[in-house]
Amino acid sequence: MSILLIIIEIVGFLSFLYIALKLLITYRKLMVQDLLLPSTSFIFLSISQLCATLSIIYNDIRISTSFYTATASLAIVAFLVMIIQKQHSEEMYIFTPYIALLMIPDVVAGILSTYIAIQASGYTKILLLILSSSYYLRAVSVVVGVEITPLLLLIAELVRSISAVALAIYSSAKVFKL
Amino acid sequence: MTKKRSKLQIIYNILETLMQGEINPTKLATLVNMPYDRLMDLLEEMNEKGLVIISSSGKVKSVGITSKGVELYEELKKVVELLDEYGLL
Repeated sequence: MSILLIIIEIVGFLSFLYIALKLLITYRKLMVQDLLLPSTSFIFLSISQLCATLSIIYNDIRISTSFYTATASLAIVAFLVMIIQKQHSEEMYIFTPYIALLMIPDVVAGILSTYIAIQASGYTKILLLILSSSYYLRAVSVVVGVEITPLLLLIAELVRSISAVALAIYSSAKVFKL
Repeated sequence: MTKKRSKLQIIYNILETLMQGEINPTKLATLVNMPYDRLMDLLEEMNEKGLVIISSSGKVKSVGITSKGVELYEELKKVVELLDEYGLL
């Protein structure tokens, strides 16, 4: 089971990295700033996937937990960068510190990805909504009873990894060139 | 309120229009909905990057797309579609 999960997470990592590199290559050809922030977002999403992979691989509970927390924290940065790109206004920079104050990684990753999902379209919207629901489920899993936590965490992680990888593959297929 | 087009979208619109064939800059300005002066500045920039070619015979100017421009248009088409789906444009 964990081998399958590791493979899925690696596919997600590589797909998001592919999109980021594709955007960077296009940026180098055009030198248009509009491509820089989206590229940064996808780099953070790919690192988030890498952390998820490492959290499964490492047996040491402290290292594994650190990578697990980093998964959501890096997703926060990715979605925050997307929101900054969308708003592109000074008001956004004013609100950024307040958003940072709410840094409970899973909740913030959930809120930010929901915000991005609402304004997205097509399959991206659906996949982003599923991904954001997994962050809420992760947040809920730590406040419920100890006996339910492992099960909820497992479900949340399964939903998160599948939706993240599906989103990564779907998005990279859009820019894939044979 | 209509959101201002990004530079990326404008470049994509220009390349998309030029894919139909060579065109007079004045007509291109109308088709991509931007002032003539700003369009010419952008076309000069794109010309330096080898994406378009500006030719003139007498007083008549025309703009065409190069093979590098066609290649970039194909890439941009996918990138723009992706960013649009994420709501990032």
